[in-house]
Amino acid sequence: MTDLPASHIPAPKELTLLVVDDSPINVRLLETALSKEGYRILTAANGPKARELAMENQPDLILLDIMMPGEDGFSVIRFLKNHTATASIPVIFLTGVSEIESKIEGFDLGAVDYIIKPFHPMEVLARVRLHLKLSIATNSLITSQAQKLRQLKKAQTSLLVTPESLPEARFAALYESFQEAGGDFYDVIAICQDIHGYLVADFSGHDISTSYLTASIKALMKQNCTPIYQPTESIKLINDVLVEILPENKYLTASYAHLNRKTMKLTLVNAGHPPAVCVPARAPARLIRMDGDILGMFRNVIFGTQVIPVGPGDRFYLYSDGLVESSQDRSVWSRASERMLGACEEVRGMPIEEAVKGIRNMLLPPEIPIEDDIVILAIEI
Amino acid sequence: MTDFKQLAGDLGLETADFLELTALFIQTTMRDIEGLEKALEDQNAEAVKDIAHTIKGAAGNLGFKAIYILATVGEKNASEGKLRVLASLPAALKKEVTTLQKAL
Repeated sequence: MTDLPASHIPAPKELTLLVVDDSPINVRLLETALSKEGYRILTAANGPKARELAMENQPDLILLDIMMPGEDGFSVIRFLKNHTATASIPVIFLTGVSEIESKIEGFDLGAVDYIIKPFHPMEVLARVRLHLKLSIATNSLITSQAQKLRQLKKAQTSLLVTPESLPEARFAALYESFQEAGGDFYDVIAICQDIHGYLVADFSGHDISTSYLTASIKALMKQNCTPIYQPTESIKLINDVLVEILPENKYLTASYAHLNRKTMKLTLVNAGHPPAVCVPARAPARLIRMDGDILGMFRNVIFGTQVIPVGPGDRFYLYSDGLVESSQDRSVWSRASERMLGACEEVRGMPIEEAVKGIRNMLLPPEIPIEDDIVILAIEI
Repeated sequence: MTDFKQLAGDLGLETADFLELTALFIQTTMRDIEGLEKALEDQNAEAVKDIAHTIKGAAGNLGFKAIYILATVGEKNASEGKLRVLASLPAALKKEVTTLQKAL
C-alpha cells in the first residue's frame, strides 16, 4: 500500500471561539492567550454584537461575560439557546466571585461551565479544551445515531410488503413515517390460498427499539397467523409474546383483518385501535366500533371481534391514529373517525391505490407537515 | 518596581504581549478614571460601581494588585451607596496607573 500524498489528508477544521466581554483588556488577554494555541478568535464588546457574530459564524465555543452594560450575558445566552443555528454551541460564562447566584442562573439557561474573574488564561484554555472535546464527542454521537436511524428507516420500509408482491391479497397501502424510526407498521400475509391477514399497528413512542419491534411483529405474524388458529387466537398469541419482550410502558394498538375469500367472511379484531371503516359496494360506509385491550401490556386480554359477511367490491380500511388525531385541533377518535368515514365514502369510485392517497390528502392537507406516522391500508374484496 | 517579565510568566504570556496588554490597560483605565470622576460628581452610585467593576476585572486579570484592591473597595462602597468615602479614589487610581506607565 502506498502512502497518500500529504495534500490528500484533510486539514483539521480550524476551531473558532467567540470572546464576549465589555472590558477590552479581558478580550485582548483571552485573544492573545487563545490565538497562540491555534484557535481563531472572534471578539465582541457587547450583547448585540455577540449575537450577530454567533449567528453569522457559528463558533465552536463562546466565552461570555455576564455583567455587561446594556444587554447582559443572560440575555445573550437566552437568545442563543432559542435559535437552532446557535443552540448547541457550548457557552462558558465569565463571572465575578461575588456573583454566586448568577452562576446558577447561567447553568439554568444552558451554560456548560463558568470561570471566575479574575481568571488565569491557562485555566480558560484548559476549560475551553475540555468543553470542545465534550462538544465534538457529543456531535459525533448525534451524527452517528442519526445515520443509524436513517438506516433503520430504510430497513423498516423494506419490511413493508408491497401490493405488487402479493397481488392476490388485493390491497393498497399508504405509509408515511414522521421521524426516522416510525412507530406505525402494517403487514399483509398469505395464510393460505384465498385467506389473508391484514394488520395495522401503532407502537407507543418512536425510537430505535420501536423499529426493532416492528420486525418482531412481522415474525410473530408469520408464526401465529396460520390456518390452525382463529384470528382472535392469533392476536392473543402475539400479545403473550409481546408481554414478554416489550420494555416496560411500551405497548401497541392494532387492527387485524382476517379475510377468507372462500367463505366470503372477514373477521375483524380490534386491540385498542381506531375503528375500521367498511365500505360495502351497495350500501353506505360505516365505522366498525369495537372495544379491545391494547397489546403487550397484560396477559389476560379481551379483544373486540366481529365477523362480517362480504361481497365482491366491498372495501375495508384499516388506519392509524396519526391520520385522524391532531394535536392542533385536539380531535379524538370518535369525532375524527367520522371524518375518516366521510373520506372513505368520497373515494368510493376510485381504484384503491388512488383511494388511499385521496383519503390522506382529504384528512391532512399535503402542505402541512405531518405530526405522527400515517398508515392507511385498503382491502378490496 | 513592576516586574513585567514575572507577571507575563504568571499568565503564561510572552513579555512583549504582556507589555502590549499593559499599554492597552493604561489607556482604557485612564479613560475609565475620567468616567469615575464624573460619576462621583454626579453622585451616580450605579455608574461608579460599574466602572470600578470594569477596572477591577482588568487589573485582576493582569495581576496589578494595588489597582485591583482599590477598584474592589470602590465597587463595594458604591454598591452600598457610600460614595462619600470614595472621593479620593480617582486620584489614588491615577497615581497607581501613572506608576505603571513610568515602569513601562
